[in-house]
Amino acid sequence: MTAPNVKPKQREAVEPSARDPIAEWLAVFGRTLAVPKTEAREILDELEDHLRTRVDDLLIGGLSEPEATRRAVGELGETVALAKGFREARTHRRRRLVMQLVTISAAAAAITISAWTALSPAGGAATNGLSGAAGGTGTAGLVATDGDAAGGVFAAEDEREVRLDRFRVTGPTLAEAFDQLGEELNARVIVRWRDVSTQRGQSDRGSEIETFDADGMTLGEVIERLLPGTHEPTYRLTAGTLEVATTAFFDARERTLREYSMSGVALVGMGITWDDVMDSIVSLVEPDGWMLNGGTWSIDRLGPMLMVDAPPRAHAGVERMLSRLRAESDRYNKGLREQWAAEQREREAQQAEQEAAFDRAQARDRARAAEQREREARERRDQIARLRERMDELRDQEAMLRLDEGRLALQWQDGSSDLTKEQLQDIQVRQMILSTELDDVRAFRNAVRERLIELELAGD
Amino acid sequence: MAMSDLQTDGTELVVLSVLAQGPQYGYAISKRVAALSDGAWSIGAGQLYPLLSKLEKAKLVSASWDEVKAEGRDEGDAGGGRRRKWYRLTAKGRQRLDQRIEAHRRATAVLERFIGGADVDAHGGVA
Repeated sequence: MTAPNVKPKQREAVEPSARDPIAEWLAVFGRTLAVPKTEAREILDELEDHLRTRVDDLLIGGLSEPEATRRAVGELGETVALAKGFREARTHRRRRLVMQLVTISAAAAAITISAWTALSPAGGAATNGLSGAAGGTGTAGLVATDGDAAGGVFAAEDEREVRLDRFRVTGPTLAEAFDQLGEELNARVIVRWRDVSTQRGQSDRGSEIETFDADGMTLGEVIERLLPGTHEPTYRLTAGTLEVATTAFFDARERTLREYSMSGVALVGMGITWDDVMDSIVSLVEPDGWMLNGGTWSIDRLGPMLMVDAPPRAHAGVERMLSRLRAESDRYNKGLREQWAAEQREREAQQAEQEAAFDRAQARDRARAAEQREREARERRDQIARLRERMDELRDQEAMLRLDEGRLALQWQDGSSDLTKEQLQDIQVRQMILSTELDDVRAFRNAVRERLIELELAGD
Repeated sequence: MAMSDLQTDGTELVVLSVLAQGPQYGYAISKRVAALSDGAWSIGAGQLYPLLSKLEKAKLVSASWDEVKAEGRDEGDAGGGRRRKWYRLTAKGRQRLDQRIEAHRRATAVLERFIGGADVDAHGGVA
């Protein structure tokens, strides 16, 4: 874009500049914002102050400038979410639902930038910062959507521009300059002097102008250059007539009442009310013009119709927005049928799968339970066998001990003749030992018997 | 839903409290919050500015602009100065803040009865 910036409504801060990533970000953000112009300007100014102050702080903290910029922009979070935050601060309505449906494409460019900002490696072309690494995508996106940042997401596109070729504006008065323009375009010139004059009740037509070379400039740019103090001057070029006046003048004259049919749009299905639709139009399409925002255009509902009384550029925006809404509704309607069938199929398959899984699980559980019972029974049988064995051992031991005890008692009674005193004492000691051992064995046998009974009871 | 309401209320209380100490601009508010909470709590810019905008719409704060001169590096950046938006608590805002503080105190007093396990007198104060 080499054309000089003559539009008074465009500010330096939102003018995309290859050198200033913050300005670039702000320009993209401004487009996502979709709030009335004056508010948008304040928000952008505030965010610019925030970003630049933050970057200064981060630079003091030791970051490089590209890093600091990236960090500061990243901290603001996702562009779309931030814009949504500001819009929601303005409204408590469910307008945002419609916004979500219809603003997706406008937001896409912003996402590209913010995603890039977050992901771009710190190294690389460090001096170029955001714009350098953004390369074709980022910059091209900005230039391609070279609209007014605050004109709303659905701002009318510029009409086909008339570009001048090897033309020089010489004047010396303003009226003569317009005559030269008419000659060049081969058109009769009508300037609405009263409308474009900067001073009330006094025409600017005799005022002198500086000569300038208009080669390659568009007609709109030349007119803005000729009328620097006029608010939004523009023109109509039809049937050999060039008419120059302000946008407000043409708006008032070209205002038409048009009806938009909304029948067939699945508003209820999508959870949208008529108020949502109207609110969205008022905040997304040329927000400043509507009566609700202090302008003069009106929008109302009449049965299944939306009645819009506004100039053509607003109608164009309304039409674009509603066609998006209709497309979304079609997708929803089509989606409903197909989705329902698909979901039904999926549900059936899921159910069959669940039943099969349930059966499998049940069989597995049954097998596992049987196995468990089997194992327990085996263990019980083994244990019982082991205990029985032990019982027998103990019984044998006891019998042996009783035998020994009896034998010793016998020896003590009759055989004292040939036993020495030491042998006798030895026998007494062994007897004592045996009797305590026998007590132990009896106690243990009782315990084993009890356990055996327990196990046998549990087994059945 | 209730949780996010709580958080929103908390943020609003904090921002109003900071502004009760005097006019501030957005970035300074976020720095002040971080400093006063020893960095434990931070209000992201993405949350702060929409909130300020909401408070302004509700006339709880009023805003004014002044110029900032770019300090330090002046590489001839297009237009060194920029605008800064200052916020000031309005009478309505102060009223809201008082209500919020009062509500917060009542809520904490009740909570305290549960978590403190302390004896509470008839007026709800913790003994």
